Amino acid sequence: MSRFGEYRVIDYGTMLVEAPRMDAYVAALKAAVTPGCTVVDLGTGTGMFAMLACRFGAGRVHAIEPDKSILLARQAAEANGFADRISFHQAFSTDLAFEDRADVLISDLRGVLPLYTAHIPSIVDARTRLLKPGGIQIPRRDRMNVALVEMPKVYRYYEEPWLTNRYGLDLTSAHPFVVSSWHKVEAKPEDLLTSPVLWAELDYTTITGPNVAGRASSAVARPGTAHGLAVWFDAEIAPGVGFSNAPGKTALIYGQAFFPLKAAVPVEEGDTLEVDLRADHIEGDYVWTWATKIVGAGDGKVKADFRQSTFYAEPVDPEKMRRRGAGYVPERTPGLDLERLCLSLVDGQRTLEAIAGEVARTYPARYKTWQSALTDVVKIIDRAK
Amino acid sequence: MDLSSKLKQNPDAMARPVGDETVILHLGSGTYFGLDPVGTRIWQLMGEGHSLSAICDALAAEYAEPRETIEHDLQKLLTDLLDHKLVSLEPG
Repeated sequence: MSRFGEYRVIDYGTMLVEAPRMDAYVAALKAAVTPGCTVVDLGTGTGMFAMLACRFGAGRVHAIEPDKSILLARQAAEANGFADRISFHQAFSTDLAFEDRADVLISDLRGVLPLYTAHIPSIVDARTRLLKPGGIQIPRRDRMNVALVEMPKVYRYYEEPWLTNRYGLDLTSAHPFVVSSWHKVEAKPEDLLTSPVLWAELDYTTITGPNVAGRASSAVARPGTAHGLAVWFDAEIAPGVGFSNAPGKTALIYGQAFFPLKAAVPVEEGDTLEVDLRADHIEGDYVWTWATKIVGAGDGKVKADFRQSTFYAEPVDPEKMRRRGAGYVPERTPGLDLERLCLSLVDGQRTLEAIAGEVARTYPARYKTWQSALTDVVKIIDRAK
Repeated sequence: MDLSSKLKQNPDAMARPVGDETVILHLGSGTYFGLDPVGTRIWQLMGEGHSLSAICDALAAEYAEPRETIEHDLQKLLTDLLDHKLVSLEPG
């Protein structure tokens, strides 16, 4: 997977090969599917769960995936003789409605953590509209844990070249941005300075909103240098069936999330850690905020009291930020007028050629022919979907 | 407006400077707000724990405006900030 990003085909393959994850999902799916039942596979990717549901006896599967990897899923379903039982929907699940509700809802829409883009809103919506009351959800819940970690090789890149470099250049202005972002790591048990503690639990059978906040406290178990917080999830796929991403367990595609501290902090055994961590779903993705307090065991002195957030992770274009303010009055521009015209012509009857023709007639200086308008028309419509 | 009151910035309000202005994101609602340079200065004074009266005094000195104008503008901004739950009032 790219750092936060969409899954590539090879990532789907990696996930299918990882035994702890697949064994848990397959066991849960096999136990959940009854002969002739209906399954919704949310985020089908290359169609593995949809095909396995058919193999286990499902009568109907709705395989949903907005990404073009669904085209590979269709081919695989044909190759394996399941195409008559799987309906493929290249769309967002929130835009779909089916005549009958499903008996089973299966998904894995997580990133490094379950709090990833539209995962939670999609689960809430699918559970509410697409699943029968009392239907089976796979997975059932994820528990997210946090620990203070010492990871000098990782932390080096939060300090170099920003605070020190071989060229004697002052790059300190970038350091606040750098320590305002988290990234995926593969932590080892010996990196932990505190025992893992539960930060938050997501019960997918009852969750109603995407925002999560929680406080976790722990004691430092050994002396060292604290570089950041590692956060990972343990999955309960079905009762008694799951897998863990804890340091030391078989490495899976998820890894752990490393939230850096503003500065490295020397710690001693018995020092206390208090973490307030929150994830707020804003404009389709998460703003993470972490407040870390470390207090010395002996003298009760505050060794660290940091408040950090991904809100500060990127340099800001003042004009762009101004345009997001609630009080901002958007300017009417020719570009917006063009988009408005284009979208108003989408009536479920007109072809793209007809729409492009109307756009070209309205903007003759910009488009000499309908063919020259077609690319922009396609982009505008795709973006609005 | 009770000038002895102080204003407490809501922990849900994340503020960052953008030039001489400030952008605030309310984490709970996901809404962005902008403060012009005077609003930015008021936000800074609020964060330092000054009472509304002390804020008026500071602005009157810095902007050479009549006290009535300062209090009127402060009241307007305060109403906006309270409405959007960016601050809360603490009695003086």
